[in-house]
Amino acid sequence: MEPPGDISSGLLNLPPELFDMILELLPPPAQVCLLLTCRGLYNVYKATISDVGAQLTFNPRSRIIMFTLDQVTIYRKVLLRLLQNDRWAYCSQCFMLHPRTEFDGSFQVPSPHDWIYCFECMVLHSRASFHGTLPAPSPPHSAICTVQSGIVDICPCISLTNRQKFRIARYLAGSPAETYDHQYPSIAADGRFSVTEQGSHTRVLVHDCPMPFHGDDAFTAKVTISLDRARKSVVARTKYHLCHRKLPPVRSPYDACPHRCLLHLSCYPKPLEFCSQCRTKLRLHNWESWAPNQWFTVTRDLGGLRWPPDAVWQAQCRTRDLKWYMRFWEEDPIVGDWVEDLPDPPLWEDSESSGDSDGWSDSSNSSGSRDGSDSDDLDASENSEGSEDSEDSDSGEMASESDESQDPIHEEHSAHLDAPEDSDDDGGISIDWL
Amino acid sequence: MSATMLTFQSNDGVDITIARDVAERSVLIKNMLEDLGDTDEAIPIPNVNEAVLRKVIEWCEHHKGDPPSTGDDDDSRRKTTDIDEWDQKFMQVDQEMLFEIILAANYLDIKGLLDVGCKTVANMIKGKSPEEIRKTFNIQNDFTPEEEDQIRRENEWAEE
Repeated sequence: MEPPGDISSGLLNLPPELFDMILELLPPPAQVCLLLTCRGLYNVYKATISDVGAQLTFNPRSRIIMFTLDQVTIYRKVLLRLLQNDRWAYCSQCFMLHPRTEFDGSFQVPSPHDWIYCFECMVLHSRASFHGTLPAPSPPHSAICTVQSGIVDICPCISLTNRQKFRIARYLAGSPAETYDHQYPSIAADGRFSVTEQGSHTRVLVHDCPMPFHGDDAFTAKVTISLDRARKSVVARTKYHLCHRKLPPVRSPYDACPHRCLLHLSCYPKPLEFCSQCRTKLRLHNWESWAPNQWFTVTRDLGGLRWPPDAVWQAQCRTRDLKWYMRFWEEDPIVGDWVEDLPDPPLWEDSESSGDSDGWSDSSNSSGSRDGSDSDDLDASENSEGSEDSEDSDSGEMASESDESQDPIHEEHSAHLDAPEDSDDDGGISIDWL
Repeated sequence: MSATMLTFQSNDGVDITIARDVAERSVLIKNMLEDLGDTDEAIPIPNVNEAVLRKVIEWCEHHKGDPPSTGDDDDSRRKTTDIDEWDQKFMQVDQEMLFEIILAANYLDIKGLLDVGCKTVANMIKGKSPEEIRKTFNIQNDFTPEEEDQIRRENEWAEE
């Protein structure tokens, strides 16, 4: 071992090419941990860190991969666990680190500052002024934050935490961003979105989704995220275009909402108007069976800006079945070891990087020019103006009534439409056992 | 006829005599012998001290029968960090020696040994938090707590 008092590190003194050689041997979580050890490494390898970090998202994988081994998911879990310290703890529900004070029954209201009452000055101080002087809270017992904020999957590229939704809402409202928001990746600079300005104070985020997991170019999707000012909530509307006649496949790899797969909700065997569990709405437009260049929209209310998150948000959150949790989230001391050498080729990467994207854009252009683009803009504006309130009355009420359990009428109405194949992911499990 | 034994001199002046086929595990030495021809004099190895040189020779002795590496091996083999049992034991040395072996293997161009050295270091890093890595490799944390928080936020690893 190094003699005491010697602050030089053999590792850092290696020539850069040898250091890189070692770095290349490490799996992504270990790369990040090594590069975060000191400022020198961080500054030199900042691009590497953000590249690796950007791969380890919590976006949904294909439905198939979601329930089997998913390298990216495991890597993110391993990384977050390793990045825990006396301030941050890992939450398996949000797939994020939260302050330790947000677990085990307590939670903080997210605000630009945490205020702490100072008994000497008899006033509130921001927590920053106490930095390093307060004892660190003890490690939480639970791996799930108190409010169980969760993740909502919008499309294969976009998954949101509740706090991301807050930041998006502030951005859409055109309100000056909280100073706090600047600490997170900028929404305006997010390459997944383009921004449409509607009026002086309303913006809409638009995302053209290539739907990378389907394997053939059956769909394209356009996601718009907007504010419904009347209901004071954030709404995600996805417009799906059918590109050719091969549909309907037996089973879609995409979810319209956490409870229904896309095709089940839309057309097969009989269209649903909404999901009885989360009130996700479906609208078919001039629907004639499965003909090319037809489209349908799925509208999801993502809830308001309340904390803890409201029931509307909770109803839209990602659910996992017990098996999934057993496999991924239970304490597993060896996960850190065996995960290191998982086989390389994740399926979703292949399909994303393959030449499919050209095919996608071609077919979406052709269909969009015929019936898509105009009406789509109209949709977005309708949505943000809240002018759909009359026909949305069921989900409008939901905001106030959603704490109650399922409405028996709707339950009965839709019971016969529940396809058995969906039973695996709508059995909202209790995860208290974690 | 090429000599079967060669003598090397470490940078602290110690002569070590070894078989030629062992010495030729080093691409640097192999090329040098091809260029310069045979010699009876001790060949100086200016960057490596006796202890490290003996360790390197020990590795070369053990691996002298290995098929020569083809240079850029298949990536999959390089990617894994499995190390064979003998090499694992061989690498159970203090960190100073470990890094000196890596540097010597790099200088002498002994690919197999360099791989084993790097894999050993990689295995020491895997599964450790940044703080544990700092402790292991004596790295000073020069981030402020605020900076550490900021890095976690801007990469969307943490939210509050």
